[in-house]
Amino acid sequence: MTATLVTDGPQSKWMKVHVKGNATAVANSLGSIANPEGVALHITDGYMYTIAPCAGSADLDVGIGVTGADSTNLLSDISIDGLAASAVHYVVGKDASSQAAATSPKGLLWAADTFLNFYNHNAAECAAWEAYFYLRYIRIGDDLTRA
Amino acid sequence: MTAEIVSDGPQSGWLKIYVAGNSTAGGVNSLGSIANPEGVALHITDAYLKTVVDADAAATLDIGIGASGADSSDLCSAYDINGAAHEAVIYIIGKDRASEAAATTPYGLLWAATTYLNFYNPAAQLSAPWEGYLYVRYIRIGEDVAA
Repeated sequence: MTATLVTDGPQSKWMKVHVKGNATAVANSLGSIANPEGVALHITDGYMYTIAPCAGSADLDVGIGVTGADSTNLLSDISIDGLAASAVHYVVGKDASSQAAATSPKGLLWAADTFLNFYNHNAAECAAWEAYFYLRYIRIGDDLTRA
Repeated sequence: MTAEIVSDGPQSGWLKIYVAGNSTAGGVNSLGSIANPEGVALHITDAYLKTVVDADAAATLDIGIGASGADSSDLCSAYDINGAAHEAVIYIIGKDRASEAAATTPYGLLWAATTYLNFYNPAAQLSAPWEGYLYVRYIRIGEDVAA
């Protein structure tokens, strides 16, 4: 299980998460990231940058939930063996009009005590797969000012 | 040839570029090129063009990434800067993409470390007195220290 926040350089306000597959050939978690601010966040933008695809026919789910869960409210069933190295994909859909709800997968609440989960839900290994996720969010939890 | 980065005030994380047309005989020519400002691969995620003054003749505008001075059109192709209304703002990066869609031109674009953001009038018409600002936001997507 390998998902880590990366702070190796200036990120222009993007949260950067490195995720790596594993050799386990049953469905399993690829890692979970705790809410980094401890208040409710609303994810407004997200992109996945593929470093390398995997050999096995693994599928990736990404979403918010309890740690280690198979959460699918950002990405569901994306075939990570078919992705090209250096390809960039939308994680948060932008196909919404003014006045549309900013709900999954066009925006997503990240509650204070929940996790950003990465999960391979296929019975196939994904050892070679590696990617960076870039996320941007609003601190949407009520702070002190109007409590 | 006039394209320059502007730092006249707080831009909330947006790169601001001023571009102006010219009176070069024959019309077809570069309006300027901006070198990658960070020296690492960037992925352009958002961009808007604001017209300050439109052109008198039927010039058009191409915008994209390539070698310095090139006619690159992978962000904007043959935009009519003669008919552009003063103060009009248009999308340069299309946002009508769903989660899991590829963030490729014109829905996102890689700006390689050694390449340029190019502005070009491909029409045989003078581009003066057109003036505009391009606002760009990006991810530092080049592999940094951890990779």
